[in-house]
Amino acid sequence: MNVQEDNGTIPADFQGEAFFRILVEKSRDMVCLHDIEGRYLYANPRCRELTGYEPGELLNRDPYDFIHPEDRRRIRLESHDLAKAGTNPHSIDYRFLKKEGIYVWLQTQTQPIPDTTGKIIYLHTTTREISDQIELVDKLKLSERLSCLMSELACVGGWESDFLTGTIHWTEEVYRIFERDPSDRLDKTIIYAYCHPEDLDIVMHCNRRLGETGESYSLEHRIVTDSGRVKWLRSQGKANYSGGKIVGIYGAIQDITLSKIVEEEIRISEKKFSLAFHNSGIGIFLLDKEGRFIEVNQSFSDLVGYPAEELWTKKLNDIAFSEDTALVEEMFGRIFSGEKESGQLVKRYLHKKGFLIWTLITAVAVRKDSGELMFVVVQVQDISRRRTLENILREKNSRLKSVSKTLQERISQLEEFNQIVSHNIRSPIGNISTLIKFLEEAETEEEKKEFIEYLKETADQLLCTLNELIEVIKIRQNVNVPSEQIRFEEVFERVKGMFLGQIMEVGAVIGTDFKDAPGVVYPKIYLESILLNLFSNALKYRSPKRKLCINVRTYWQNSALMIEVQDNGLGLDLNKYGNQIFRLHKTFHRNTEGKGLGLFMTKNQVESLGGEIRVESEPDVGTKFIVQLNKGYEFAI
Amino acid sequence: MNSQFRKRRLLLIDDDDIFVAIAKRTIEKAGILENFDVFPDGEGAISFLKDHITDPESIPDFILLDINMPYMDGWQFLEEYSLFESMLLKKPIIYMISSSVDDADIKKAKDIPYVRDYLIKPVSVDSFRRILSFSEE
Repeated sequence: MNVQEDNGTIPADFQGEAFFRILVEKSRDMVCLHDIEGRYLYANPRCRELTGYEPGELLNRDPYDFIHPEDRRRIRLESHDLAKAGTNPHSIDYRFLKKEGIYVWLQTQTQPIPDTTGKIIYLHTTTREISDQIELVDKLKLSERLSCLMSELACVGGWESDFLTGTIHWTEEVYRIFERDPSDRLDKTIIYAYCHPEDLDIVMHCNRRLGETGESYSLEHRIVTDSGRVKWLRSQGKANYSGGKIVGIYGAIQDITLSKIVEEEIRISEKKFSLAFHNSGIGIFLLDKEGRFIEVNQSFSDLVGYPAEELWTKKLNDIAFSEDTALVEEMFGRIFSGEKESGQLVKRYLHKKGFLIWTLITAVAVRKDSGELMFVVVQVQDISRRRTLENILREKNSRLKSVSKTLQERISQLEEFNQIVSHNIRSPIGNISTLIKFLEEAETEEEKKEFIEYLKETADQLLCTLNELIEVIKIRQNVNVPSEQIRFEEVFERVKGMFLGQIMEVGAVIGTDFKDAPGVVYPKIYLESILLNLFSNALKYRSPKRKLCINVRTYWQNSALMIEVQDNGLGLDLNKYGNQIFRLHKTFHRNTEGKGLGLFMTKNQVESLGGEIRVESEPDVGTKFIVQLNKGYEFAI
Repeated sequence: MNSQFRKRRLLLIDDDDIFVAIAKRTIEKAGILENFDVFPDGEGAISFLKDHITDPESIPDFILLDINMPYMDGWQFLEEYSLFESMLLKKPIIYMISSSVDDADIKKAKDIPYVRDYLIKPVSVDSFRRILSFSEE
């Protein structure tokens, strides 16, 4: 090989070819000589590290065999063809299949070598491995792409201002946020012009302070885009230091319009619910799954008299009326356990001041998608007033009933008197009138005497009936007969005393029971008369078939005091005589001295004081008289 | 008055002794009946009728029935009577006689098919005559 140019002095030790050999063989790069088609004519020993082949193995091989198929065309066009044509191509990067079967990135510089006539006959290549570099570049590219992607996804743009060069750089996302063409110029003034007028001052102030003192900031502000759209941004800024001096500032801009809208919506919706919750006229509270109060509205607080702070330390049943706790626990237990989703219950609360409140509560469970209970919403309606009104209504109703009953009684009394007048008075008067006519027409003294006798008898009868009526009317009118505290035991002993002879004669067994109601405030003569009549009736209408048993007892029923006189005597067929038993001059048994007066009087006495009397009887079994002494209350609060 | 008047049987059911005496005398004077029975209440009359259910000779031609009586009253009598009326070989003519001027009583009596009429006490001789002879035609 000839050296045509003076490239310096070669040391004396290295002469001729040996000198060049050393230069080539010691090179850090792979140095090869190729024929015009690229086949290896020579490869220096460095090829071992780069390709894994011994230099001898590469001789006469086609390099394209080792080059990655995707890179072959590029190499041919951008390097090989150029070199063949005599130009020095740029170095080219490609992948080379090493002997051990893996590709490495190589960079090759190709140089054409012409013969003396200028015809290109050889190609000279120097090659080095660039895998590490390529990898680094790839990583960089990837990271750049990811960062781009992320900033796009998060709507975050970045900017950097270099004080030394006076330049500001904006990332693409910034343009997107400002809805501006990236090719349009962007500078500080333009950015500020986008700021919402109300927010401009604070944005400028923050940036100035950052540049002057390095104080970083993070603030939310609005911008108005060219289309007039208002966007919410979060802007952050930080300073760049070098040698303790601020050399620049950088920051990020994030479009938070969407989350801001959502946030606002949530805020409004929360406000709505909060208003509905706290201002509701109905008591509402939330319970956790242990039954503790989580949230309580004012209405409920007012209803039970406990401030919310006090309720938060309590459980549902702490302020419940003890009699209702079992009911409440049962219903809420089912809701807590997931067996039921909701429930309704009328229950009482104990107000802090100690009185009872009637409420209607409706509880609804709120659960997570998993079914786990979050809380229970409970609505509480105060129905105390309703109940009070109901009570008043019921009381009025019962009073009305009692008035109507009294009226009914008066009417039946009138009817009764009417009957007495027509049967017991009109009848003898009719007789008298006929007898007088007979008397006038009488032919003999004997006849006259007979008629006068009849007249006398009738007059007596009439007088007797009249006296009885007067007696009854007296009882009826005398509502205000003085009452006194009476012990049943005493009165009954006296009554029994009057019939002692008869009791002993028939061997009657008398039983009494005044334990439940030992006494009463009542007119003494009436009570005596009532007991006397009932007792004498029992004695009078005894059955000859069995030993007479009379039982007298007193007791309370529906707030009314009752007296019962029961015998095992003849009894009565009430289907036959039911409506007549208390009428004047009615008797139901033969061969007794009954005049049909006693029960008539008794009934009038009892009724004149607001009581009632009724009878239960069965022929040949016995009779039971039940006297209700005073008015009872159908209804007690 | 017709001397050919055939004598009839009458049953009076009333607890008013004086009225019974007056009625007896009036009817005797009128001389229109040959037989006159009295029961002071419904029960006695019912058993009498039941005892002579197949004996037309003893069954009265007329029954004068008072309403207000102890034990079994006039209404109860009619109830009992209705149970065996169809079995009687002769159907007596029944009049209710009462001192009650209550319209309810009068209406009730007229609604009972066996009752011919309702008479209000006192009953005059003429009234007796009229009803007892009227029924003969």
